Amino acid sequence: MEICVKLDRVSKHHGATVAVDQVSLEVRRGEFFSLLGPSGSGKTTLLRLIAGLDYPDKGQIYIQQTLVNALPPDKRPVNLVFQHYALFPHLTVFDNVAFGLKMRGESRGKIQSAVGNMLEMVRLQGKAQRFPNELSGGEQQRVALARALVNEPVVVLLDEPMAALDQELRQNMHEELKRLQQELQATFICVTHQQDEALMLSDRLAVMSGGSVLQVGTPQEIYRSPQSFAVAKFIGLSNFATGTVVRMENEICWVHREGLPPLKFLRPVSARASELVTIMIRPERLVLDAEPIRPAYDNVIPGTLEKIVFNGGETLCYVRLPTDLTWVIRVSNTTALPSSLCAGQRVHVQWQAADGGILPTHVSL
Amino acid sequence: MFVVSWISRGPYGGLDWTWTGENYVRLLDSLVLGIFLKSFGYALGTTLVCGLLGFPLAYCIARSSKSWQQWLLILVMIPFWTNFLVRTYAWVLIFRADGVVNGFLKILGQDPISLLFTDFSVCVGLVYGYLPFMVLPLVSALERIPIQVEEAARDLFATRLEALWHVVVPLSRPGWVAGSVLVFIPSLGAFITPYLLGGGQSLMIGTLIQQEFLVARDWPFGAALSFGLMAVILMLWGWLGRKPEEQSMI
Repeated sequence: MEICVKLDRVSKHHGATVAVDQVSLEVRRGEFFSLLGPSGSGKTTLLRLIAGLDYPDKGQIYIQQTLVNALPPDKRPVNLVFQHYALFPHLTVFDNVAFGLKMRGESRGKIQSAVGNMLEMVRLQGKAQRFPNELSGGEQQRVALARALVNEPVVVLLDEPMAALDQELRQNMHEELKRLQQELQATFICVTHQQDEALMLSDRLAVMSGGSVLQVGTPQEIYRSPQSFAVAKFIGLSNFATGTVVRMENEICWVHREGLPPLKFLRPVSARASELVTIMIRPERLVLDAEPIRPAYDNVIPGTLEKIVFNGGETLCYVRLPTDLTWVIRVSNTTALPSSLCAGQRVHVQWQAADGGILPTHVSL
Repeated sequence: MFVVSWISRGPYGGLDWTWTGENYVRLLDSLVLGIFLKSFGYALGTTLVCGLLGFPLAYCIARSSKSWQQWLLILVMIPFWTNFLVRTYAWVLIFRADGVVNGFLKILGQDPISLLFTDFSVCVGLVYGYLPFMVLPLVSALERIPIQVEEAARDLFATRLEALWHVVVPLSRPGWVAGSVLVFIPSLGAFITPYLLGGGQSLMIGTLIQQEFLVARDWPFGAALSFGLMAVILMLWGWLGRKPEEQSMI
């Protein structure tokens, strides 16, 4: 598959702080790629480096196999959708969208038709002569999108495109963004700190923290098999515990944790005997019942049901385990919670070996 | 003043209380109109040069870091701590026949040039005096333009200059208007600068008014001149203040 943007060990410092640290990434043609991370993780800086609004201290940036390190933003075939849109307030919607084409010296006729088509695509045909301050937030965002897309850039860069929209509008814009990306077969690189957004929209995503890329993969890969504690903790809800690998047998390994029975997991390639590891199980993979259901489940831990939180489509049950850990279990409300369960009761938490994961340990839980 | 402008001048420079419109008729005299026009030209030129010099200066100040910005603004305002007359007189020392410029040329072995009492020296004096009035409103207008808007222009294939011309300059319009008014009006009525730096060569309307009052002792005509100037300024103000037609870029 053709590589559109390639970053090779790119670093960027802001004064003494490292904003981007040795990041290497490859973004493929036509994919929706997200940079996901908490604020301050360097994802916006990375986007600005690709756009040419900042220059890297070290490393190489390639756009379509061309080294662009020293190219100014106006010479790069990429366009950025700014977080707060940065529309030109003194220009109409039409002129905002036409700006890039005009600067590139396109003919009047081409500009007229391209801008017309693009406004139709983002459903703003009737608003061409309006000024940005006469538009709603959602409309302004569509102008910002159109202004970038009309230039048919090699890559469209989006900086927190949904951040300034309210919840309801955000849902609509998710669909809109995905539709536009697919219709135009464009390559999108989208910065976000909203994991649901990244998981829903992306073909692939990179999880960033402290200026580094922790893991790159499809949303499924990232959610199901995070490779580090930081990724597992950042994406979705998880239950963790530290323990020691005590025994390995073909595809299976057992992890021991003081106060718990030996726990059975699928053996990761890297696992070594007597290694300290963090185990991880997603709340929806755990099964809660008053009594252990053997032999159906590989692992069973007794505990005390502390708290039951009804959350619409699901119920969250908090269970205190013998080792002073509190785990959360997500019970879908399609299957009613066993009615006998109530807070304070003795229960058993159980799961299959394949549903848990083993991570190299950095923390002690 | 308004009343005085409608009465006659007494034989020895006092006021003769007979009503007359003659003072205003005299404004249309070709000599007076010429001085009006010339002052107009000076003021317009001063405003343009202040704009051309002031914009880069204001842009640098507005886009520098907060701590730098303070110092730069203080530098712009330091000249105000000294009397305007003294500052203008300093230019006399620089420009006169044995002044700083010619002294420097002498060291270089060049022939001296005459700078004082020329249009050039008057313009330099006016620009020097009124530049801060252009810079300060421009700085505050430029500061209000988010840097992202400028970056967006760069990202949309505009070179640095194109981004300034198509985005920053039009968006700083309030600063341009305020700065131009603040420079144009006082330089139209300026009298110290043309008097000291222009000598007898460059009579401007301000100098003329001053002379009518203090030298010729023709108060009624001086008053009429003042009101003529004021009328012109008010008309200009009205013209600048009207809302411009929003026009499409292409």
